[in-house]
Amino acid sequence: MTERDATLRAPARRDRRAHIARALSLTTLIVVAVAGGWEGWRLGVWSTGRPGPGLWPVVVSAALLIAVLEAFRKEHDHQAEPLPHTSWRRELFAFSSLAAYIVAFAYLGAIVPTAIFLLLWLRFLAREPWTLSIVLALAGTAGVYFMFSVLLGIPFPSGPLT
Amino acid sequence: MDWNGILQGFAVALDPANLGWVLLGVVIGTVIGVLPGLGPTATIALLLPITYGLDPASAIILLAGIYYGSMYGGTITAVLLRVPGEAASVVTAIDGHQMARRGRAGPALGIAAVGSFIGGSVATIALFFLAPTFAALALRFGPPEYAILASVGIFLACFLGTGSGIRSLVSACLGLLLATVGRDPITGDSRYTFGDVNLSGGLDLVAVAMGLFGLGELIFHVTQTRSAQAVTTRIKRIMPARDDFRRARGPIARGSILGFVIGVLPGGGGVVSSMASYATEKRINRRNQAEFGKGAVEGVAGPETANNASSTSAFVPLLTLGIPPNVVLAVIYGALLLQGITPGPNLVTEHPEVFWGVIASMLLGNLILLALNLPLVGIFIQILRVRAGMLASFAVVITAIGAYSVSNSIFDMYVLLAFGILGYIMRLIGLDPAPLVLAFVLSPLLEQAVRQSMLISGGDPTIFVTRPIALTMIAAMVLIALATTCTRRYNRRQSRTEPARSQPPGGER
Repeated sequence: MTERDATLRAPARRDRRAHIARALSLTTLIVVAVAGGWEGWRLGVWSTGRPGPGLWPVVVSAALLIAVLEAFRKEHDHQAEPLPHTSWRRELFAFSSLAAYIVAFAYLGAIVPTAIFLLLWLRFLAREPWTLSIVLALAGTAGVYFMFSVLLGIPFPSGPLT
Repeated sequence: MDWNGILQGFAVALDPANLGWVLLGVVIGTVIGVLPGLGPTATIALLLPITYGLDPASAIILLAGIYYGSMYGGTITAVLLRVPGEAASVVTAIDGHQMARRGRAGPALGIAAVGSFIGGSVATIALFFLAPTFAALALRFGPPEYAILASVGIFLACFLGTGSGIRSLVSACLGLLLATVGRDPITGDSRYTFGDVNLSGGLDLVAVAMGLFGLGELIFHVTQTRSAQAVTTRIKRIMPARDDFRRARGPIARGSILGFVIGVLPGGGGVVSSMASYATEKRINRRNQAEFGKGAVEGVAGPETANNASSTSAFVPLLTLGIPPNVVLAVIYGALLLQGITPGPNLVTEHPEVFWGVIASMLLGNLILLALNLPLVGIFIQILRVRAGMLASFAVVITAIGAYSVSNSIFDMYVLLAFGILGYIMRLIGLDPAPLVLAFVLSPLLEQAVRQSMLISGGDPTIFVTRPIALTMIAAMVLIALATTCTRRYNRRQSRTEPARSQPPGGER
């Protein structure tokens, strides 16, 4: 149980992280449920003798609220579970590079951004050596192009970098 | 029994192209079953856009192959590394790995393959007989029954699963709510679209499922720096000894039946059935009870048979009621919708080639898996040498372009990214994304059923409890819920009073 060992080593810091994560997720879920229910009510639960567009959203939002509160009540006295080990730099890199890739894909075209994205991931997330990363990025781009564009006939957005 | 249908099914399944698809499906399934971190749900979601171009029967044959193929693949890593490649092989890891440590990895994998084959085949044959009956029964269901059935399905999926029931329910409710984004199908009002045109068509299932399972899982794995495990076990002979077969006979027979029954239940599927089988075998095999946990062949044969039987019979509620019982089948349901086919009681008459073709292909798929697995286990293990980061890089690109390709929409790529982040966060804080996806798929059906019911009753909610079939379903759900709570409590008390001794507990009933 490596996670447990880690908790024992740095209990205070991990506990705080877990507590913050829990409080944040709880608040978000409650806000979502209340806002969802409110909007559903506004859409109309019942109109002219038939169920309105808001009926189901209201029912579901209410269920969400009850489930969240019940989960909170049930687990209140338990100690918050420690969060798994993660490195926020890698996470940030993974998600932001993907976001940049999507933007580039839309405005600059598919091929070059795909190659660059693959290279970045292979080199910096997968930590492969440069040469292998370059070879794999090029081969991967060719493979993806062949599969989607040639075999499946998907029209890629075109741009200055095709 | 519909012989014409069965013959038609085999005609579809034996078509050379479809044979190729089932072969491809089970090989992909085995491979991703071997790879930890990439489960059947993510893979099927990943391949959804690609199946779009196939004809419906071939698409589902391929996807179904991936599902039950992954059950075989998960066994390999469970036995050799004690790492279950997918959730259903968790219990196999206990005795299977112990067998491997005693130099009996081959027989463990062999008996698992044979058991899986028998379980899958028995369940397929049972499907042939029972599916039309189910479909005929389902035709008598009205909106209130459907509403109850779908809710029961979500509820049981939450509470029968491995995680915390109430947390799963939170996840499911979130899925139900997210599915309402877009234009109301009946009145045309925009719901939760914030005035955005892209949102008025609703969130795309492919993007949601790929985001939560594909992207969320891949990034979770790639950012967690874990070292790869090497396989050191040598596999000498794969064929189990005669004594193994003798001991496995009972567990395989019981596992087939248990797996089939659990698979048909809403919320059932691989994990629940393999756990139930392990518990049953441990209780029944009194003579070898001490051996459980130390390499009992019964503890491998039973669960492996059961999980394969249940992953086959889980197609019953999908193909006959149009209600996917677990998250993998929810994504397959999405694939059918993409093809313009709504699964339900009319599927057997409207698209007999899909209905019978898929069932027949499962029999062939299991045969192929048996033939592949026994000699090729050694090759499948080599897949573990592929480094996780490398694999994730390619998988993420395919996921992103795949999300785009469903309707050539950049917006879907952003949806994918958003759900990738959501999936990642959910995994961090311990919310299971599976109920979310299942509920997301069932929400439109559930909403329609609820609204129709309320229309019939003029706004009286008692309609859900006063019709005989609906009432029976509710009673059944209460019974199942009570039974599981009692068993869990009983088991907990047992494990508390029973000290950790190797001696079999004498007082156990």
